[in-house]
Amino acid sequence: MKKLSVSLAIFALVILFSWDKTEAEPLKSIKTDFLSALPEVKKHTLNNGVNLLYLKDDLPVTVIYASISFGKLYENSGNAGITEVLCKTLTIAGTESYPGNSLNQKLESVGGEINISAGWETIGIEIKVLSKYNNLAFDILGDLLKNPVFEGADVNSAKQLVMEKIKRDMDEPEETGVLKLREIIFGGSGYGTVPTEKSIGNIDSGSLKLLWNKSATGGNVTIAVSSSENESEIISLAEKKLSEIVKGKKEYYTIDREKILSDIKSSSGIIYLIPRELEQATIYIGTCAPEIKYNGNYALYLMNYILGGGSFNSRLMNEIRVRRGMAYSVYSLVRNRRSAGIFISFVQTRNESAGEVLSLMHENIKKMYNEPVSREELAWAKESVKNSYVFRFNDIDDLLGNFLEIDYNDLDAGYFRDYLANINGVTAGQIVDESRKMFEQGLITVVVGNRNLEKVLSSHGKVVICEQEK
Amino acid sequence: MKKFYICFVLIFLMISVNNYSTEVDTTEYFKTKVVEKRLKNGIVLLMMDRGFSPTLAFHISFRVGSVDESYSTSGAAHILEHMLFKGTDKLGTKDYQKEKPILNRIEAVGETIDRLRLENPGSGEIKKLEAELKSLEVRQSELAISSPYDMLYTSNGGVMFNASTSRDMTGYYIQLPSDRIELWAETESARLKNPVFREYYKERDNVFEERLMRYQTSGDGLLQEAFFAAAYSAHPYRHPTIGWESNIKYMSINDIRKFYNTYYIPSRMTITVVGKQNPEETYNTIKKYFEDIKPRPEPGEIKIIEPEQVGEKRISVYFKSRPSIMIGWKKPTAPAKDDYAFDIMQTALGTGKSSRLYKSLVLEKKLASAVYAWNGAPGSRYDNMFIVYAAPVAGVSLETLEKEIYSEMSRFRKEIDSAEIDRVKNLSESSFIFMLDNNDGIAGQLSYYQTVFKDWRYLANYLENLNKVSVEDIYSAFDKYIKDNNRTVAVLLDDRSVK
Repeated sequence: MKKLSVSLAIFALVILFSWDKTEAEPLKSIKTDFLSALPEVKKHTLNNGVNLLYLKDDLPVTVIYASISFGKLYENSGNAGITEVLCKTLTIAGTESYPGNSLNQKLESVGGEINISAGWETIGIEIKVLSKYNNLAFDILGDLLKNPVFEGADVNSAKQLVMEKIKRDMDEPEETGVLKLREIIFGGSGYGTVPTEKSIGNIDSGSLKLLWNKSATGGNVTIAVSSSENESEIISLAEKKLSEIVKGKKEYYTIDREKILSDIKSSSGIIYLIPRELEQATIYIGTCAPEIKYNGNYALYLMNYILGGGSFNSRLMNEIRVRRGMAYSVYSLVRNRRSAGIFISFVQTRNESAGEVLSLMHENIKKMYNEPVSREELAWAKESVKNSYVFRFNDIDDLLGNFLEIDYNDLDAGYFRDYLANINGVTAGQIVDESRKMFEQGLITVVVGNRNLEKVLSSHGKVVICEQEK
Repeated sequence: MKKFYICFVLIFLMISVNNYSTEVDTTEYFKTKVVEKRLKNGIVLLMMDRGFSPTLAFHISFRVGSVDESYSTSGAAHILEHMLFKGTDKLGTKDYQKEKPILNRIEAVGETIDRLRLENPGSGEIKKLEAELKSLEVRQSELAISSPYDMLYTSNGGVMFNASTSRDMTGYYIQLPSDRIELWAETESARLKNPVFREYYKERDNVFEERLMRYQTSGDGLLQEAFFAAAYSAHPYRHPTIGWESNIKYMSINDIRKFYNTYYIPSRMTITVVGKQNPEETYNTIKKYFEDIKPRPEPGEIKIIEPEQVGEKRISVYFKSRPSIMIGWKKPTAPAKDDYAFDIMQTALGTGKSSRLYKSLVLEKKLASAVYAWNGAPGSRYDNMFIVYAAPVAGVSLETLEKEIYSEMSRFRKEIDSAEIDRVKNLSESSFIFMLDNNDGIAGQLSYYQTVFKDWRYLANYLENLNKVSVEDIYSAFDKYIKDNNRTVAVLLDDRSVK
């Protein structure tokens, strides 16, 4: 048994001593010694390279979460949508031992659940059962990884269901807007892939088999298990049911950052208007953000907290919703992944307020790199992050999720240990610098709203009308 | 749309928390773990010590929702919920003595504008008053500290600070590190004892924006609203919780205040605290801050009873979105035995990929891309409905889909047997146990059942009661309520396809 070197007890000690006590602390800080009492996540590697994370649960429940390194960020315009189709096919076509819907029937007949989901970077297979059905759960997982069925008829059904979902999503202005935003920022690949009838049409049994054979390999699969069953039993079950998975190495996507930045620059300042005759306009502003290991992310996290991620006291929320009553839904986010990241700012407002809201969004974004945040704002953001840190370790899913994040991103074992110290070390000057670097790459604006907004929006930049297919 | 799906998930969770298992005796689990206290003023306090992380989930709920509103106050419960985020005479103000007369004047001017807009929209006074209101709001904002709770709680590590209003109840939630319990108790008790409704007109505008987002830019949102308005002729379940557009635009601050005074009373209030704690200490802290909230008279339950439906109701809604259909039948609410039978029907027909409707309509016949069944909408304090929702795949008409739904339901009636009921009970049992893994989920369940059914033990005893349902009970409930003349059908049609 090879245990992860990341001992949570050590986390606790280091956090206690690394916190800079000279910083302004308006409130009594939360103690972090809870970390030493957290249950221990144990790691085991099977002979074929499958990583197994285990955590003991008191409830008589077993949750198995298999993370396979392939997701929508691995797609391009030629195969856009393949991750969704793959997951849907696995769900409805089943495996050699559990063909078709017998997989779901078998699990549900004992009160179990299975969910196969297409993420940005990974495909997730989650199986939940009462612990007495561990054997069944591992048997199904093993068969899904080794012997899935990719029958033509089932693949066609999966394609139809995925296309239907995409079309229905596109009826929602939020979905339409964010898809266009990502498409423009990332040039139609990775984060910016747009599944179409054509790209989905290109997918067949052969392409799914090829993809699964390449992805569902030992080194490319990490399995996190929480169970009331002992660790040794779980390892033994995993070895029995998963040992036939072939070895392989971790597969990662790549992005052409230079091209992305060049495309953003050329589209920056343009307002893409998707006409939709609704009473409310949906506005997105976004750009590319750094990858997860970038050191400046701590500053960008705090920047975003102050700008629009920190609930009602963030600037966008305060300026647009609280002070002016112009929107219900207002936020910004920064998401950093292994090789790519995205910044998004979002507001929905009455059509007649769209111009003013767009100005406010731009003004507040610019302010982040034109003047330092106040001492009070910075102290509030740091205190909030520090005091809510305990919620990143609140339940078993959180603990295993943290380890999966470390595993996929090859993060340093001390990532969670040092996190608060890194946040605490951020200065207002760094926030200005990092904001400037990110926002001066260029900002893409997408508005979903009435066609007659073109006139109002044109005073904020060149408007390009993007007609949508029905 | 999202809210719609969340609704399915929530309702599924609400009905599936129960026990008949030998795996974990969940009845015993709850009865042993839940500590119940009642404060002198009538507030019910529920506590559960659990988990490994030093955090707590707090839920405060009131047995008041949009079902308690009148035609003229539709939306009041929800606007009141928003106003409870605006502070007190001490929190959220720099100088309340100076702020108060401005707030009074804002109210007087705002109410006059609303009256003129309704009664004499051409009046030249409106513009003048609007200018005065704007200037007053600027003066008031200089004396106010906006979003005061948010700042206080986030600084103290609070997460998921939120609130919600439904037909049946209103809830206020937050999760905090366990050592912030006194801060929470002091803050929330003051928030409930002495709220100040500042920034009212701006917040009312925000609620209007929320309505646009949920119901006027989403086909399924619109469908759901129209469905319940058609299904109920008299009962206030017909009104959307957020209120009708005109209600929101003209909602009087005075009506909100009256609503607060009438319904935010200790006898309608439940406090639930779940997570790492010493319940005795929690009780003492809560008693210290909440027991002096003065009791007020119980306003009583609503007097309107929905008349028996005497024929099918059918409506069409047109919007720029792909079609879907909602079909519902009226039936009794819990704790009627028929309600448990409908819970079984919900799971058998629409829960999971091996459920009858999903298997037949989505997987085998390929007529639908999504199908759900749920029992207990739009609320559970009064008799409610059993509903099926489906979205056809392109090229399949709603008529065909509707016909197939009825065929599947008839087949269910013919074929249901004890083996299928066992599958449903297995799913319910495991869902119950799966739900026990987080503080907030448990707090939500306890709070819901105590508030809506006036006894959290409904939750603890649920599986035992579900286990008593027989095939004959299902026949009986089905035959009594799944009838054409007790049915409401609403279809959403894509107006881009209509010539």
